[in-house]
Amino acid sequence: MIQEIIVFIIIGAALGFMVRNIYRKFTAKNQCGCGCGDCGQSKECDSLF
Amino acid sequence: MGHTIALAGNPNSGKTTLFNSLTGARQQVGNYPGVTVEKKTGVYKINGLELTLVDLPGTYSMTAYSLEEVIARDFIATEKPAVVVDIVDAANLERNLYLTLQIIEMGVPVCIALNMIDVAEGRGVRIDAERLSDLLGVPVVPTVARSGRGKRQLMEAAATAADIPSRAKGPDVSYGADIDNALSEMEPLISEAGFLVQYYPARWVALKYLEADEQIVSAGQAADPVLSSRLVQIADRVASHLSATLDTDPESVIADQRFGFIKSIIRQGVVRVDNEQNRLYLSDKIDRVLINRLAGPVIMAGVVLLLYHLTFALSEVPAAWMESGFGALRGLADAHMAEGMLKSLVISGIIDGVGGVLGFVPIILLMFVGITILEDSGYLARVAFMLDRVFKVFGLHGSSVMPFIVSGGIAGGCAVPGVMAARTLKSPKERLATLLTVPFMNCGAKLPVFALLIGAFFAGYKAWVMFAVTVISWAGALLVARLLRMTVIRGEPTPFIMELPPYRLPTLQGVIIHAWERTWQYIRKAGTVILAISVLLWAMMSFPTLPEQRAEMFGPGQQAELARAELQYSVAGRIGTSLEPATSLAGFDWRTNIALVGGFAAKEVIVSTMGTAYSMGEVDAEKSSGLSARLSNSDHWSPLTAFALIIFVMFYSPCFVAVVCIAREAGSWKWALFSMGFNTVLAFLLAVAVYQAGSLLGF
Repeated sequence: MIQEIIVFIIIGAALGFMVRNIYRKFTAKNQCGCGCGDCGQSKECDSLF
Repeated sequence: MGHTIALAGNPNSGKTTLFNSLTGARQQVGNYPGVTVEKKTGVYKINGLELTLVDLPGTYSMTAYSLEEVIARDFIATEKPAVVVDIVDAANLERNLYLTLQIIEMGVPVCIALNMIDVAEGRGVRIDAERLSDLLGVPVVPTVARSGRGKRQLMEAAATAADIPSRAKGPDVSYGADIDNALSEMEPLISEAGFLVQYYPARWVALKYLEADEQIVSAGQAADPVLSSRLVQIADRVASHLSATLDTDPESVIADQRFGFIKSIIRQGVVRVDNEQNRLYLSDKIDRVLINRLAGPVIMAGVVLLLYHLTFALSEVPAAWMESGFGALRGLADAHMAEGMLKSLVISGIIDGVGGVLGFVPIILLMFVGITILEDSGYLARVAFMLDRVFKVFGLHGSSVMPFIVSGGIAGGCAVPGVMAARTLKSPKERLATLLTVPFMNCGAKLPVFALLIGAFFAGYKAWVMFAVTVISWAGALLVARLLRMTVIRGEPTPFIMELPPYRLPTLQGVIIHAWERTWQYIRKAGTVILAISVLLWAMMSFPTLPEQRAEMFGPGQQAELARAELQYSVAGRIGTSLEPATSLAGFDWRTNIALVGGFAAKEVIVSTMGTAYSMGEVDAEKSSGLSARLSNSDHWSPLTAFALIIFVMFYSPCFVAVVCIAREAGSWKWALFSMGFNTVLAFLLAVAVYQAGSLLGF
């Protein structure tokens, strides 16, 4: 039972993280948001998708 | 107390290098025009004073033809920095001073950094900085951004200029009788009415009306429609007169007069050229070979092939270490964790999923080292120059080359900055054709997928297959561009002149920093977004669980069959299985389908999902091999299946983030959805063609 609870907490956290990222991606202004660093503006993209 | 100082300059003038040197910020330094699009800031402290430096986009002028020019001009006008430090390429003084003159005309205090003075001196060009300073009425400091020479003196000069309360007036350029007369008529009208003067000097506003600058005329129309119409009338009158008498227009006259003014300054003892002026510079000598019409493309292919060969050869040992490391971790988790859901999540979801992506770090790092050396040396600009000739044939613009290379033209880029870089294209149709085709390049996220499949099925000739993959992606992108330009985005091509920066020896520090930055982003993405997606896909591959009744049908010796049935019963398994009737035409099974659906979120997910999907059927984790070995030992997989999958991954829908960026840059979701649909259909048809043709030929 404890295992199941831990697993569902992890899944919930992953889901929350993704929803937050997608939301920020859509609301970010004029940023690439990829976090890949190739665009030379990685500092502004750190927390984005 | 502090000041805001803006750094302006032409592309390739060393502006970003100087900014890095002053602020310590770690940015990408490129050799081709337009690399800096966004605003970047940093701090420099001098004599107890804190200077906030703003790196403006590189521009050739202060007109409003491109986004970069609009950004730079708006910043100077509205933010009113205390000083604009104009970074001037000393080796190309005449062309660079055009921008300088325009900044001075904006009425803002200017300080000139006579950058790359060592290159100019190496070419036998001696520049009298003091004389130039006297003639322009602004401080001039010789600098070498790469070595940091003169940067302190430059900042001292800038800080001093910032403390002068009044704005520098600068030289009054004569634009010829017709324009000067019009300026004399317009200037008092503008000053008396206070028309736009909160941002710009009156003379500058008058000049912009004469140049028919759309942005300023539109702002003027909103501020005072009556006066704006009067100014437009005067400008129209001058334009008609110049057209009738000289067959020209005010904008051309103004540009000619500016260049004439610059020439006159240079001839007043500012520049002295040694006797060796006709000799070929080292860069020119190298270019005679490297961009030769015949030898150039052969050398380019050789360089790319060598890069791939070195990357795969040198990464073999560290990649094996990584694989054994994750294998040991898997064994450890298997030995110490109790059986159940959590163990499955940790082993199949996290270790095999994220570990699969992290296993490619050595290849990614070495590839980035190679690309950084090519980029920093100036060779990548030559690649762009050579490809420019090809691009015209396929209906693309010369400025499209850079977005293609940034997106992973050689390997390891990203389509998102590639899409953003397409902003430099002025023609909307050429920009759209570029936006829709850059995702075909081999970005850093596709690289682990290719590396996995090439390593598993083409181990004997990895570099050659990777080279073939690159050629196919370019051919596909160019053919699709041609198709689009002949059908949905028809239009005339626009002219393009490309600048070749001089060759530079990459610094070890620069290569290490740039390659590590890009690799670190890959690692961090694996530890955040890819981890989260892997967990979610694991959940999709685990739920709903198989009903007990059905599970009981499998005996003790049928654990592998049970695991397979459980996976197929899950949400992801059902999606994968439902797609199988169609995708089997391309040789893809339901597990591959799950990975490809997940790959829409981020292409690295294809590797992590395959790692999870193939791991979940395993019974003994300790005996399990890596994904590469699992695939090569699988009955379902063959080199032909792997190649069809490579083709599909190369061409199918861009990832989620790239789609959002395409929608933003194209100004419509219609084109983003077109990109998703068109690319996926094209990828599927190509993969089916490859698989079916290969099967018929007996591969």
